[in-house]
Amino acid sequence: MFDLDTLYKKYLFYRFKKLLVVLILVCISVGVLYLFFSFQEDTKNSAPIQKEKVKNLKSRKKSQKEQEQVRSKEAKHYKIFTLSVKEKSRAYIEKMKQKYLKFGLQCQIEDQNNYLNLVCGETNSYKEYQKIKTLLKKNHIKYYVVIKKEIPISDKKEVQESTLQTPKRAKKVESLINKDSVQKKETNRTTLANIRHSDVDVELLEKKYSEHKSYEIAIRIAKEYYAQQRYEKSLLWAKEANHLNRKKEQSWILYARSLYVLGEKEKAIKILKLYKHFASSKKVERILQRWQSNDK
Amino acid sequence: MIESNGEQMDYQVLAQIFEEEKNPVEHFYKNHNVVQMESKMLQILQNSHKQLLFLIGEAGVGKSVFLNYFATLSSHVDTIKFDVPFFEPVDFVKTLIIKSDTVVQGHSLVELIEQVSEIYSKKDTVVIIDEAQLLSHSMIETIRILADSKAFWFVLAMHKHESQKLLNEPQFVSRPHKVLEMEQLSFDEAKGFVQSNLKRSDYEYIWPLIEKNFKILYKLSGGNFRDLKKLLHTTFLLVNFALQSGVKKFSSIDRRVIMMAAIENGLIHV
Repeated sequence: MFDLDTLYKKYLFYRFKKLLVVLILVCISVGVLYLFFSFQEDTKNSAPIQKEKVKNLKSRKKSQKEQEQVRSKEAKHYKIFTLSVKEKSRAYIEKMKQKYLKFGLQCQIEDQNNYLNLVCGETNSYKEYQKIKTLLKKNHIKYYVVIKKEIPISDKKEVQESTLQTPKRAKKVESLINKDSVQKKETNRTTLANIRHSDVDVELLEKKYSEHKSYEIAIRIAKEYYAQQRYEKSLLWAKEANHLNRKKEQSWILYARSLYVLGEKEKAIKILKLYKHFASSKKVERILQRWQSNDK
Repeated sequence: MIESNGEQMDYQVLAQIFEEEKNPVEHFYKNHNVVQMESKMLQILQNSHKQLLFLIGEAGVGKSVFLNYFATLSSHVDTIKFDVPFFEPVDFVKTLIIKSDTVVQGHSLVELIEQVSEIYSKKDTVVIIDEAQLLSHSMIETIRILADSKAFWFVLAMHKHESQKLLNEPQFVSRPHKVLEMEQLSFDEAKGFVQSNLKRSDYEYIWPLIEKNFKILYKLSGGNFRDLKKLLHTTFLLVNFALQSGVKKFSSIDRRVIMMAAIENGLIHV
């Protein structure tokens, strides 16, 4: 009735066929996976080469930039500012001029919109500018440089670079402005403080503060003014910040430092001592120690 | 003959349980799909006007068995069932007239159609035609004319893959008709079907033996009534033959024997 042998053979053949199909599928999958991983490995291996290429490219670009900078150094005008005070502090700026003369710096007082700026060098020579810079650094004098690119009058664009340099910090701002706007700036924003401020716009900060009063903004403004040596403004803003948060030491320190620089040393010491009564601060103690030892 | 659970088991008898029956209506297995189909059809007959109904489904899904069952069920309507549609339109119309115990008058098809429409328009009669995919073009046209006369309900059962051509013909697309589809058995329904068949023959105790391999049985049959029955029938016959021939290797139901039965039945193509 049934041919069991033939049926069984057919059954085995069918199983074999299925097994073969499975094996082929497995082989294909393994092959695909192998290719995938080998491709990944290849990309990994080639990555450092690419990085190297990028690095080389970057260094080439860097050196090109440096060369350009060196080339452009000779074609710039450097104006070095050391101080900026209100007109009522003319005596102070005169005193500082005499003091800087002892260091070998020939400074001139420039009057700009109720502000007096002490200019300790104006030159087109990069070497000369470097000399003045070294001298200033040697005597720990803070200074600001206004660098103007020497461009023919026919060319309407002018590059202005201003840098703020302190022993710890050096910032650069580059801006492209046309000739008209330069003139406008000279009339409206002639004060050194306005020219020299770094990437932080104090006016913007003050506007921000008027919209939203916060300790952080006030102390930031005070710091900026202090850095610009506009100590009276710094004093006011430190006080403003202190009104908002009396616990934070920074406003106390900044207020006292501004007072100290403006000559009110005793008051400055008194304020820091007052702060020491209700809060312990190592920083305040250090400042007090330094000031007291200076007085002695 | 072997013993199982203390009772004697005859694989020959078991095979006969799953043999194609001549009149399977007596042991009709009402699965979920059938129950749904039945209620749908009765609802249409009660609530809608006389129209064409198409019962479609894969071969062996149980259309014919369902129609046999339905013919016995619909008591409020008369049913006339044609199992083989190999006839001419004139003979078909004459048969309908004769079934109503009326003498055939006239000779032309037009006269006969007029007579049959007049007779049946007052009655509720369902004309069931199985294997309708085999109908000739002239027969289809006659059925269309009769359906238009609103004298009959027509139920045309056909294979799903062959039904599309007929259903897409303009004369059917534009006329009111309903299409009902019979689906394959689900896994649990297939299990229920086998169990009910075994129970009917007092062989329920061998169910665990089949249940062990039911996944492969269902997979190979694809939930098709006819294929499942055929597969079980051949499997039991194979085991019986192996026992009689003394081939111990195939003397019990297992995956291997079932697959051999599937190869024998053409469910597996080697």
